Amino acid sequence: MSNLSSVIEPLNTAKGLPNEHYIDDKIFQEEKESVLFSNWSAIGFAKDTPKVGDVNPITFLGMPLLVVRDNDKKVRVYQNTCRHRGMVLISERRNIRGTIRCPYHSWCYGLDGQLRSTPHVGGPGQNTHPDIKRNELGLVEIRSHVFMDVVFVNISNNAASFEEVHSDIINQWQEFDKPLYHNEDSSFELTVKSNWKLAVENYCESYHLPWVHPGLNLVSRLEDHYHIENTLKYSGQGSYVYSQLKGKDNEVFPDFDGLKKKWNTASEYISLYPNVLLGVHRDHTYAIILEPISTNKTREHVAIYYASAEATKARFKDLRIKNKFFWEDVFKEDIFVVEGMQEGRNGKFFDGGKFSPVMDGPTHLFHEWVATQINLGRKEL
Amino acid sequence: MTRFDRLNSKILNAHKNGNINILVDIYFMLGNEELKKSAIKSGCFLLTQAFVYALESGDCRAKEIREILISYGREE
Repeated sequence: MSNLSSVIEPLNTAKGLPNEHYIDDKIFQEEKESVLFSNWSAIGFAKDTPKVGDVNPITFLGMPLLVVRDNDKKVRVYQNTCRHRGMVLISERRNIRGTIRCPYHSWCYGLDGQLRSTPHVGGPGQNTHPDIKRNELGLVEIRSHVFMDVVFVNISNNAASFEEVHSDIINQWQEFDKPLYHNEDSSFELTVKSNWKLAVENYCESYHLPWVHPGLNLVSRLEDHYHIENTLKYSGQGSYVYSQLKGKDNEVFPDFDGLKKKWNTASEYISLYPNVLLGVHRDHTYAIILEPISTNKTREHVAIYYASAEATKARFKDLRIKNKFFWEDVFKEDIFVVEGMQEGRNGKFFDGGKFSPVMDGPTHLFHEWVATQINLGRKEL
Repeated sequence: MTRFDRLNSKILNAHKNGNINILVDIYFMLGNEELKKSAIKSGCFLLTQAFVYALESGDCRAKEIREILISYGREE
């Protein structure tokens, strides 16, 4: 069991998480339960189930989940497992016009999760049996919430509501709590040979920008950034000097309606614990979902959103592609850093690291949060 | 080729091509034929097949088939 006492000390004296939190399979499993399943983790995008009846199977840390757009157009998440013999119900993303049918013995479930049919369960042509109580055998629903088009789940069903846990960021970014518009040409994935936490840690601090993203030095200098710090909730950075991307005819994406003047030149980037990285600007937002694959492998699912449907049309295609490549290049510039930190954590004498008391506050907050979640999990043992 | 062979071939093709409506058509028809012959067990078996595929595909006949099965004490 790792010792986390030094992680939850104040920034000036704290150490980072010990090496085993990045390289040890047992700790990875512990974090899966205490950090990811016990909190509101991001698993996918609502845009991937836009129409009633759309189903999207997602395996999150080995857990088979099914994102469904139900008849009320609400996103719901179920365990993607039949209540009969444990068969996985849906294996590919598609639209279902009627019920979800298990491919094994054809037990059928409505989009509301209710068990609708149990064919031949009482013998050939007899679809009922006194011991088969359909109202007790619906799909297991996983608590879910959609925020900024990201689908969050609390798999262990032990967290406070999403609105309660994340009330601060919901308030801080309420100006962006509007319909978001996406075109599939504005999604991409990156796979990194790194623990998922290193991607969070790198994202929430601006300290590395002058060295890892030198292209920003003249347009968005280090001194133009500020920390965003909300203890045990989220952390990140903001910039005072966002300037809109322009097309060849100087066209820009339409803005969100009703933004405060601050957003004319501001942008903010936060790590919403545990595993989603968000960015907001006057004319677009994006979300990066970190899918932990193993101790040293993470898949990053990126989706960029715009403020109006107009921005997703053909007229803006060139500018969208330009914006996508801009962000893809920025995120790719970070890969050698997170992979390098992963490699460095095999150094047996690395002690978790010494934080800059001035520049590493947002990163320390994430470490503190992770350590707190793990300690909570250990208390329950 | 007998009628049975033709229908069997149609069913296999429908499965292969994901043509669920045809499965509903065939099983519904055969189920009703069996019931007319008072072959309740096989009729309800075939109607159950039709019911499941009708449910899966959102076929409006699901309601009608379900009512028939309920009338024979085979569905709830």
